[in-house]
Amino acid sequence: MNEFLNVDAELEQTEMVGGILRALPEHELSMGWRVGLDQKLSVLENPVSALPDIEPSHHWRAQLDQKLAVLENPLSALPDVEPSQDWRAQLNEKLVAVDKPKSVFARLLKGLPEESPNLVWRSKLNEQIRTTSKPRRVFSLWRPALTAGLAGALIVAVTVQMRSTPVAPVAQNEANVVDWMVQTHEQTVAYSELGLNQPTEQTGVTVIEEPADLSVWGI
Amino acid sequence: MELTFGSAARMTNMDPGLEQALVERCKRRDPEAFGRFVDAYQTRIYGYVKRMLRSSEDADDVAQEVFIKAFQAFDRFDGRSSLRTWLFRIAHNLCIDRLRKSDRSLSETSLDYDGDEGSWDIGDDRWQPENLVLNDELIQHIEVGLQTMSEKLRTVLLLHDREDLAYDEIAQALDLPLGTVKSRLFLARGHLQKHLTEYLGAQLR
Repeated sequence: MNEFLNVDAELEQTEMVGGILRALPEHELSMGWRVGLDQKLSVLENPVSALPDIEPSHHWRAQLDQKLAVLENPLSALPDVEPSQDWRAQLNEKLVAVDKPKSVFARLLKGLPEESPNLVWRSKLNEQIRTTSKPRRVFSLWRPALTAGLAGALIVAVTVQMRSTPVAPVAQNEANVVDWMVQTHEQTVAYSELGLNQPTEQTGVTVIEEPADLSVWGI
Repeated sequence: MELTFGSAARMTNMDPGLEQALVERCKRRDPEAFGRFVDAYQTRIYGYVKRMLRSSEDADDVAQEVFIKAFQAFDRFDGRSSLRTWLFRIAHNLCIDRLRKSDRSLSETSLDYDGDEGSWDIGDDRWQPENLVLNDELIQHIEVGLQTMSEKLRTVLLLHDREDLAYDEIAQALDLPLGTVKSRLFLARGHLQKHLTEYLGAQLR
């Protein structure tokens, strides 16, 4: 019975210790540690990959390039053959011979007398160029002048138009005209009722005279 | 507008920097610069046109027309070709136009060199430059030899052997492939040599 009690006590202690350990904070693993681990795992997986790269020498690369060039163009592998002195001398002779026609014909043609134009020709040319250049110069002055003139005329036209068409006064003048026409009509009706042909002061009707200047009414 | 008439009749090789400055001034229609430009090229252009057209009156007109065209079109000169190439291109085109307008049809047949292959012998002693004496008679024969070849051959020969234009410059000026320029030059020389061989042969007999 005591033994069981002891066991229970030990278990309790163990659980307490486990609880304490679980309560400890976790340690974050560094990236370096993880990389090192991955490398070691890859080496275990493929041990050959861990061997270092061996760079080929420049000489080896040059030989390879030469062999590839030969495969591509076999004639390039042939050694250069230096031309002999005789061969070079013959070539020079031939080059001189080839160039000879040019020198001969150039000499012949350049030996021909120069055809110089006379002063009359030159003065005619001067005159023609002078006349050729004049219209262009006149046009160059005339065009901006024309543009400015047209623009000025347009501005004047717009200004006159705006002044000659007042909006509000027209409505007022139209009202005056209508009033005058109504009054004239009423007078005419009144005269006809009174048997009169002309409005007189005797009728006691106020005569509205048509103004001499209709512009007062905007007409 | 007054164009200056300098005493320098023929400037064969203008300094590139000077030429560039002259071109810029001509583009701005600077009359003094254009006068210098005419001074520099009038002899070459006039001579070329005169040998291309035969008629002195036509040559006078066309040579003037070349410079008037150049004056009018200077602002369109983009410098892709040299100034002389551009100018000879204008001259060539105007010459061809004038030849077409006049009743002379451009001869095509003489493009084919029908000379004897044996006569094309540059080893002939008579063709050594030092043995050729340019007297008036020989000059006359050269002029006749030029006039009796087609315009297509004549223009290439004049531009290459007299005006020192390179093959590619001639190709640009005449709007021709390089190979055509070379073949026409060969044919032109063959024609001239054949013509002169007859004269020189007669002299030596």
